[in-house]
Amino acid sequence: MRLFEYALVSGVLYGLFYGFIGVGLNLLFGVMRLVNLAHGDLVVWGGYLAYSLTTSAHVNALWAIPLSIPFSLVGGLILYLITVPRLRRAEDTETSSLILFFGVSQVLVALATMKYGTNQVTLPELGNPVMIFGQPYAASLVASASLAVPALALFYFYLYRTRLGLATRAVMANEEEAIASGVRVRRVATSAFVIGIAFAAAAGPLATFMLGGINPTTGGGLTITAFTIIIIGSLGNPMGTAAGGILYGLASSLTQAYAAPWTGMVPYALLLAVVLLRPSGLFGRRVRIA
Amino acid sequence: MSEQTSLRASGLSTGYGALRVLWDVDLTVAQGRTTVLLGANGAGKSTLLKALIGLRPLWSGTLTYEDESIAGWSPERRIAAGMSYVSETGIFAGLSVEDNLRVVATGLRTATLRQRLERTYEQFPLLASRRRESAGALSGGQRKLLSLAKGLVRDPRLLLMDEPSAGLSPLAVGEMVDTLAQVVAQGGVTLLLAEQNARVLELADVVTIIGGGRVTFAGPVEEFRSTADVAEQFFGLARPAPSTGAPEET
Repeated sequence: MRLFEYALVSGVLYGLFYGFIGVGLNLLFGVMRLVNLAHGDLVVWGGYLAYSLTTSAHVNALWAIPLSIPFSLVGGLILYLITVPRLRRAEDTETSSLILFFGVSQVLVALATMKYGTNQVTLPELGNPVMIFGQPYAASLVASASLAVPALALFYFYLYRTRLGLATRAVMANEEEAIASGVRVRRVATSAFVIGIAFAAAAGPLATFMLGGINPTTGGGLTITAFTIIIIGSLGNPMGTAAGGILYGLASSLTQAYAAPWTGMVPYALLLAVVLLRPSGLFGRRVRIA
Repeated sequence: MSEQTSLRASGLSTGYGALRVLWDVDLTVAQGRTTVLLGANGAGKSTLLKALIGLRPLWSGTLTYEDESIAGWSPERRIAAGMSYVSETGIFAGLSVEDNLRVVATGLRTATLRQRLERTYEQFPLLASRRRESAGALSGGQRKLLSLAKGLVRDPRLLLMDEPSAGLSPLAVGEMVDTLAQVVAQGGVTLLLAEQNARVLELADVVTIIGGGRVTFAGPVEEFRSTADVAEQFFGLARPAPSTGAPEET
């Protein structure tokens, strides 16, 4: 029973972190139908920022989260201006974006290799284990989940309680109808892009803890995990991503506890089951209405 | 007193990719006069409305709204200037009823938005009672009502509406025509309706027919009704043949 409790709690904690990683990717897809294969690499670059801060300035790695935001907003805006207007004019935006962001991903991997080398970099644990229901959990795991909750709440507030968020949901629902309704689609798209990038970069420092370290190629696996989560939750519905992340975390954690050799497969079996039985994702409709 | 022109298109052409859909279309919409745009499926009615609101670029021709050239304006600017467009689907099925209304008014001040919503709910009480529900849960007639309400939230002076009767039962079509008649009676908004249903002609002051991407008829509704071949072509509305007094053959 205690093993089950442990697996359950750690599954939820991991899941919140995964939701944090996936939400920005889903926003980009939902608003602009962009398949950002470089999403995981942006997370990794957020992690490298935390690493640089810790090793060079000797400050707590978590400071990298707020610091990553202005960097990612400026960087995201530049990336948007270079790539998105051309992608939006393409006949098949999804396929074109997949190819383009594959290129961006490779550039980010190469830059990271040049700057940090190919070895794994790690960050020191944040503190003593934290007791939950009488069992110890890594401080970084609890901190990651604790930071993911307000981040996801902030994301929810933007999407469901602001006019920009309403316009964003309208564009996600039907872009032409949104244009015909007077929505400033270009402003919505720009905002969604930089917010998505900022969320990726802000999740980076946490990823360095949660994955036990990062190297230049870590991003590829993170991108796959993020896509798995958003397809389970609901592709194009960012708040379904949080629920998808928790399900993914629970599936991984419970499998790790009771059938460890199957750990690498079960979350993807869950993905297949969702795609076959409910292609719109588990929360395709319900979560969308605030 | 001469009629003021709300919208005037002259020699308008547009299309999709390499496919030209509209050919040198001339259209004049007078202020306060309801214009019904008739045409079969694929004739180019919807494309024309999209070109007028800015969703399709003009390949050639001129377009003025209230005597100002709007050919290069974005849809957003045209809407801010007092135009409004309701597409055939017309709603965001994934958003709530109230969010559908609010999204059209994102540029308005909060107090103005609240006032417009209250007025809309007074005008469409059914929407008030279902404001928190998903628009996708509404019936076909209710969706059309919501799309019309959405088109009116910003107090437009010119409303372009695509197929207000599409997909509706005969009863619901009648209700939609009555609602549109109320909108016209309240004044302030000029309607340009793209339609195929004869019931909507009850609202028409002017009829324009599009066939194969070209205007084939434009004139007052009375002229349309009295032009036997044109009316017959669409609705079997040809005037009865003048009676000769002779008994009908059996």
